[in-house]
Amino acid sequence: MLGFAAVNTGNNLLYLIVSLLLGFMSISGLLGWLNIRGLECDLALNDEIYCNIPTLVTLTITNRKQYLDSFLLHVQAAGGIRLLTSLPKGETGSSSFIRTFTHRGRHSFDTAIISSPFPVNFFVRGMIVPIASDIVVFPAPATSGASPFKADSSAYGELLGTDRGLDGEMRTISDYTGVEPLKQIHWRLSARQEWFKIKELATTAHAPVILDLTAENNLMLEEKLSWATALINKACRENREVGLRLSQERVISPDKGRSHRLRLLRELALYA
Amino acid sequence: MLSPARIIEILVLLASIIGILPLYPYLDLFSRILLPLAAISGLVVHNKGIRLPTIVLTLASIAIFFSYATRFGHNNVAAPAANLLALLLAIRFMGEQSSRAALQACALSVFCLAASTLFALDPIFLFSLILLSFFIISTLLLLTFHETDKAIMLNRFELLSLGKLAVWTTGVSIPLMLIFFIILPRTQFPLWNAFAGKGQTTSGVSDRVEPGRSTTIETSLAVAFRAEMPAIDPEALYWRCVVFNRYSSDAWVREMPPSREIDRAIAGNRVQQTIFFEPGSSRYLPALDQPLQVRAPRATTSGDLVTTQNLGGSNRSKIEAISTLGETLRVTSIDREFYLRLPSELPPRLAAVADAIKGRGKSDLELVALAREFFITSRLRYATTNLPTGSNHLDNFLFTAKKGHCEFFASSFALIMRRAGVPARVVGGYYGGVYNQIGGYFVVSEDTAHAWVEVFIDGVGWQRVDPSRWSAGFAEIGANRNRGILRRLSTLLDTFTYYWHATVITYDLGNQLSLARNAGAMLQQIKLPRATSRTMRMLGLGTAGIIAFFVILKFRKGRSANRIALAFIRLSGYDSPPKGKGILEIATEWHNEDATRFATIYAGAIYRDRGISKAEQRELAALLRNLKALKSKG
Repeated sequence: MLGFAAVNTGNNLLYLIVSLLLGFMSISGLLGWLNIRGLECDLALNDEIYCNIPTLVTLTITNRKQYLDSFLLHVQAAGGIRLLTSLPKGETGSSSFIRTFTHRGRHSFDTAIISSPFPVNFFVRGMIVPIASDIVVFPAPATSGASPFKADSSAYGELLGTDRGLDGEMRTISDYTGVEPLKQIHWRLSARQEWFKIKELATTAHAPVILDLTAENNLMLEEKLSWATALINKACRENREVGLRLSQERVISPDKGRSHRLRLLRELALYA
Repeated sequence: MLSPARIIEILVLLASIIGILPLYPYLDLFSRILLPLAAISGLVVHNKGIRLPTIVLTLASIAIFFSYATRFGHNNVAAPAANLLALLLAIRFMGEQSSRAALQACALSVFCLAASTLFALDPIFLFSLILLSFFIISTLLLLTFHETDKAIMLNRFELLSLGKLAVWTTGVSIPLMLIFFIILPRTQFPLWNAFAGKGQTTSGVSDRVEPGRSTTIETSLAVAFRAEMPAIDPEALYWRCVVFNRYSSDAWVREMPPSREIDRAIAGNRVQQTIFFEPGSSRYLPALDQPLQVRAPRATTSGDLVTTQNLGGSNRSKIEAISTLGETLRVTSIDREFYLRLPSELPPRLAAVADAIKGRGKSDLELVALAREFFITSRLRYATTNLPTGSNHLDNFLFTAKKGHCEFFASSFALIMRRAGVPARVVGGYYGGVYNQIGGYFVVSEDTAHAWVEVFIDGVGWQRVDPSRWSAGFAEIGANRNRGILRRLSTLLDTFTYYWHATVITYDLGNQLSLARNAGAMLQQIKLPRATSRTMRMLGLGTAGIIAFFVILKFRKGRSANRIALAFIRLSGYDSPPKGKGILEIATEWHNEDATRFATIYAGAIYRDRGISKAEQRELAALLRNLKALKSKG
């Protein structure tokens, strides 16, 4: 309208207003373009993610620009969208959200979409930034029902461990060093000695367990995997060795420890 | 932490004030009163959390629109439009405060500022425009935050950063504005000239010379025009605008001169002038007396050397004039009867004086000399207050009050001359001017509007006679001009105004085309140097210099990072960076959190091939200080 008035009247001051508006439009376009440039996006997830169990996803954005801060960044990645009000030049900001994965297996997040209405809320500019995030979602651990895995009686039971422990049989009598629990002190024996004597106990140990995925039963595969997940976690909590038979040829030997447990869960997640 | 909504309210109010201020003096009294009242009541209403019903405000807007719509006419566009915009803004002040309302207020502010250009073309417009754009840009930035999430609160850093961004954006928009201003398409002539300066200051030169109309004359210091020309004797600065050739009903008026008459200036020293004529109601264009040639768009010059602009009162006029400095105009032939016409009744004493002069003088020159003698011996004073009025004002001026301004002198002298048988006419224009040494031009203000007489001397032509000069006090008029620090300061400010007019206001399609032609010609004239060994050497040196500059810049940046790493390595007990050990390995030897943090920040930047940011540099320096303190203790 102002442009029309300017041409119509030949009033140079109206031309100045129109020119300034055009100038501002150009600058705002440039600012909007620069606002979402020079940004790096990263995704941080827990290394133990289960199907149907909410997990925390953290988006990290770094502004690599030397001279310009970024504002009002909508970052969309891994199925979530977060808003960063401002991100000063050269700095990193993060924002987290809860995400529940509904499918086990590998999930790849190659890109994030960063968009912003800044500087003027007339248009929203967006760009795709690469992120390299590859996660494996473990099957949802079963919580109720009957386990499909039958215990092998020959391989199930309590073994006497040879390591020192708190719940096994008594191995020997030794001196109290100040770190043992008081319940281990052999009071009657100590009364006759100059120093406290303790009952040194052995650990209890269980026979290694191998979960056989190939065994026939009525359950669907997913349920079977859920039970396997739950049992692996339980076994590891109880410090029992656990293994996995994936096929007739492929068996993962029983072992303990977190990395072993994660390996087993990973196998379950990717089980075809 | 501050809510953007609160800052937006303040910014919108400021934008509205800046937008409306240049228009305010030209508004109706009703609008002038309502605007501040609306702004204040709007503030009070919003602070108390009261919401005026939207329907009431909408109805008020419609009523105002129709009220002013009825006043619109082909020749009355500007004033109703300006008042309408101002009142809509006033209603906006009292309305709801939403993002939409803020945008509407910003748009109305821009329209109000645009409307002010229909009334005034002062350079103050540019300052208002820049200030307004800053407020509107800030508002738009904050509105984006507010609209994205109403719960957003801005911290100090964000506010500071946004403020800097608004300043930067405004600053960068200005050069772009100039570029767009130069290249925007223009028409040779405005399509619609209805916005002709209604309400502009009336010029000192009017359509009639009527000395007895009031007891005082208002002397306006507003600039009438600026004339770019060399400095000349101020005594010779008679700016000719209009010739009044008929006396009727106590006033001199203009009739078209006899068609056969063509006046010509006598050849002499030519003075070229470029005159920037302020917009006014006068159709008559000024040029130094006596004009040889006057050129302006849509202007015609009559036989008695009066140049009239056909669409007078347009917003701007640039006049190119050539004049010779003289007091006599040659004339082909004159209609003596036309220039001797008198009303049936003249003031008796004036007629008696004229008759006495006629009886004593033999030639035209003698008659003029006798009339001069009468004026001098009458001891008339030049005055602008307590002037004679009424039907007998000329008699009163000559014989009782004995004081008056140039119109009294010119009017009575011309009448005496005609009665004595000498053809005479009154010329209206300006006398004098203040020379601006910086800009090289004369500023002529409205208070220098002047009237003098041209008498026809047989065998010579039209001879300029200024009877005001025979008064006591005329010499003092303007003697005090060009003195004092304020005057010097105003001269400086006027220089800016002058260049504003010369470059912005009068820029048109012609300038645009000539600029494009000149740019094209300049490009054609550019000759690339021949590829001699010398030019190649110079080119090589220049390129090497530029490359060296950027290398040094990069090196300097890297050096500060290296220096801080070296300080850490030395503090860790190594004279120089140990072979096979990186900064992370050295940090582990400290068994200290600060050292680990130092190495993590440094490696995080360097191993990712990016520079260390200022914030990181500050943190590294602080960690280094902690480590030094630790080492000196241990």
